Amino acid sequence: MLVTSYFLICLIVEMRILSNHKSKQKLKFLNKFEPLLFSYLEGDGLPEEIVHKIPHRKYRFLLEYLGEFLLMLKGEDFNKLAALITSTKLSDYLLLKLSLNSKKNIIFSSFFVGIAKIKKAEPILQMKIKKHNDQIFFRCSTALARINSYESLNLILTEFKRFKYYSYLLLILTEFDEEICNKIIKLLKTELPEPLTVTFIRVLRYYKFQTAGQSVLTCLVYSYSKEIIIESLKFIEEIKYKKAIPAVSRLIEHSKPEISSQAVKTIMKLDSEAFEDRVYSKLFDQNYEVQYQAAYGILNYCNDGEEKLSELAYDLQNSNAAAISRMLLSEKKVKEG
Amino acid sequence: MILLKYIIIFYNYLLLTYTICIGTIYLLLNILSFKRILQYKRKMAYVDLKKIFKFQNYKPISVIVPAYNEENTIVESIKSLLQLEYPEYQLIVVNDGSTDGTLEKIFNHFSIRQVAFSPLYKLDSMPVKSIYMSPRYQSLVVVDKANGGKADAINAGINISKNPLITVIDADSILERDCLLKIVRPFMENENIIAVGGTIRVANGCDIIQGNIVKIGIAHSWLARFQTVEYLRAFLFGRNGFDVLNSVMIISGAFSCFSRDALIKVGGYRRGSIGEDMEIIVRMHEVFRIENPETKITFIPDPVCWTEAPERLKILRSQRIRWQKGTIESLRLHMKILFNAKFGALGLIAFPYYVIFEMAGPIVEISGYFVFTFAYFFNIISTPFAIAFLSVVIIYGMVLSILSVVLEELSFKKFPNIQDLFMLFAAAVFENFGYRQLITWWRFKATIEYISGKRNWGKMEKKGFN
Repeated sequence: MLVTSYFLICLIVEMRILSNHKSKQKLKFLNKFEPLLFSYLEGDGLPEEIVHKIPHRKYRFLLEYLGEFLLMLKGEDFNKLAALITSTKLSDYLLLKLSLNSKKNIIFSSFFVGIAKIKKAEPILQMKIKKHNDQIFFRCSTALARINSYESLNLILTEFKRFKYYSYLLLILTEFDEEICNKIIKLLKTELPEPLTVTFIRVLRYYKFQTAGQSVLTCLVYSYSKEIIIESLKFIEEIKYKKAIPAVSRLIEHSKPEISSQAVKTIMKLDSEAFEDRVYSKLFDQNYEVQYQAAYGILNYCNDGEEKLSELAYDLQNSNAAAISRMLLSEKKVKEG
Repeated sequence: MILLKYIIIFYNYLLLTYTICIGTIYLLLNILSFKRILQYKRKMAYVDLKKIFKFQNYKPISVIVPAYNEENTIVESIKSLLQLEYPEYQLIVVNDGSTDGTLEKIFNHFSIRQVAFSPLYKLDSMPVKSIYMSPRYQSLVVVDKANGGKADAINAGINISKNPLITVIDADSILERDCLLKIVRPFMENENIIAVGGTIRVANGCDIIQGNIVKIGIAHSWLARFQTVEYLRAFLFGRNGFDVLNSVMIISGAFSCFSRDALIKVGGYRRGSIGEDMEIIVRMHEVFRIENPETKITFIPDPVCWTEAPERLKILRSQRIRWQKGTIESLRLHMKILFNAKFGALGLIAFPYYVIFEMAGPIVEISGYFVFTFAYFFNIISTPFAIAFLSVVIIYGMVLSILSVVLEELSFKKFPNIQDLFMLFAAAVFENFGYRQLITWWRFKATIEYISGKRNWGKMEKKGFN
């Protein structure tokens, strides 16, 4: 055991020394390269000229450096930096790395082919996502999404079935442009597992995609799933889809407090006047969340909301509703200074 | 005489078996943790938390900070806590009847004014004198109440919490800016989760500016370095290992997150409890696991919270005595979990482990040292046996500590300097010669004190960060 520990220590120290050495080399390279890059961004030189000055073995440093900027920048600066990859030998370098079998290389290169939108990488990426590895799947799917490869959407969804984490899928789908919403609307018409429907509606909410109102309303009306109903309500609230008012109003009395509270919240944003009395009655619900949302809605969306809550705040018989009213009124007063 | 000799020999073999058992359990936990941490790291590597929180169903949080005589640090702590990254949270600072200028400092810096809140829940706590809010920092709520201890202060905070998740933080903890995003994530992924704990690290030796860690380093004193290794061991593989078995029995009071409804259902924290952070977790297991066996109390391995480790023996002693008494109290109050198959691995593995190795451990170890020494000097045990025994004790201890440092380096790599890494390895070796025995001695004393009825909290002073 002692010997194993000794070897482990040696290994760890060696790894650390190598990593420090690499960091130093990278820093040295960047000190040289940074002025070149900034003058290029200001308009001096062509992409090939810049890349030509960099030795092949330092490509990785260059790409690692560019990666942070490519994620942050937009517009002309982004295009100029992307051109350093797309119109130079770097794109061949990345395609070669991507086609290798090494996981490390695939993960590294897929990021750059995706962010720089190298269309030529599509077939290789499609092949790679079939590999039974979650990291490769996630990175390559994200790259395909960034390239806006809609031909790969079905493949991504099929291959995703092997993995459990829908948060990943959400991240992948939101890397596509807004056109993804039209594809999702079509898919929502088919029979889907609950978490997938929820994820799709979240993507629509992310893009605030107005055209999807009717499709999501259909999900709301025909679904029995708590998650789908809540997500649909949130979407309807986000885009203020008035046609959904009758369906939403029916959910105010839902037996599940999570649904009822969300319905109260949504309806107050859609049409507070018409539902004021019904929502007021929810102040006396058994559930705190429902009470809170009702009080919040009345205070913020009704004309005489403040007076109504003030009356209630000192009504000791309804202590919980009174406590919530006092809290919200105090918060409002403090906010108003 | 012969009978005594045989008893002593038997006891020595028993001790050896005990040591091998505890070491083996730790090794197994280490393996489980290693796998879990790697999985966690892989999972988190793809996730842009801020983006996910933008459009997923995040739940708002109420962050409760009990504060007692914290005038030196309270303003910086609040400022730092107001900068956490999370879409929606309220910060509730509970002044637990401080006798210094804690409340005045808050008044002066945050221009708070009294508001007409009344409790939303009815958990037991000492009377609340006043509640304040700040027009400038609208998420800040300050509760001023009569002194009643930490558990009591947290209960008072829960009573006015408006959000469905509750995070409890020590006033002198330093948090990573994204700690709330990380700790809430398990609640979003699994509806059965009722509590999540975070990993605590030792902040001694780190550069801290305005309540934020700007550079991670290792403590200057060996006492704090030993504790750094201890924290790595406890959090990186102790709790992670038990988490794989859904048997986390303690989440640190310095940083924990709960479902408010679950807290209300179990009646909040137990007032006057010595180890309130462990007690509430064990009670939650007891209440919820019977109703729903899928209930989960989990733990995130990310180092999200930093705390000051005592650098004076007197303070360390007082802390460890309190921890040991807290452990005994929590176990004693919930003995029905012991060997109860209804609780799964918790009842059959984790709880017995805590009873045998954490609660009774100091008694076995200290008596072992005496019996071993006696037996050796009176030639009851042979020299080879003595060497084998000592080797097992020391080597196991060293290997486990070294493994925790290795695990840290392979996973989170928080210490940027290679010198710090060497120091950690050195501390992992040297802590086995004196430090561990001292801690065991204090735990032993605490156990005896607890048995003899001395069950107070003890005094805990903190130096405060520079």
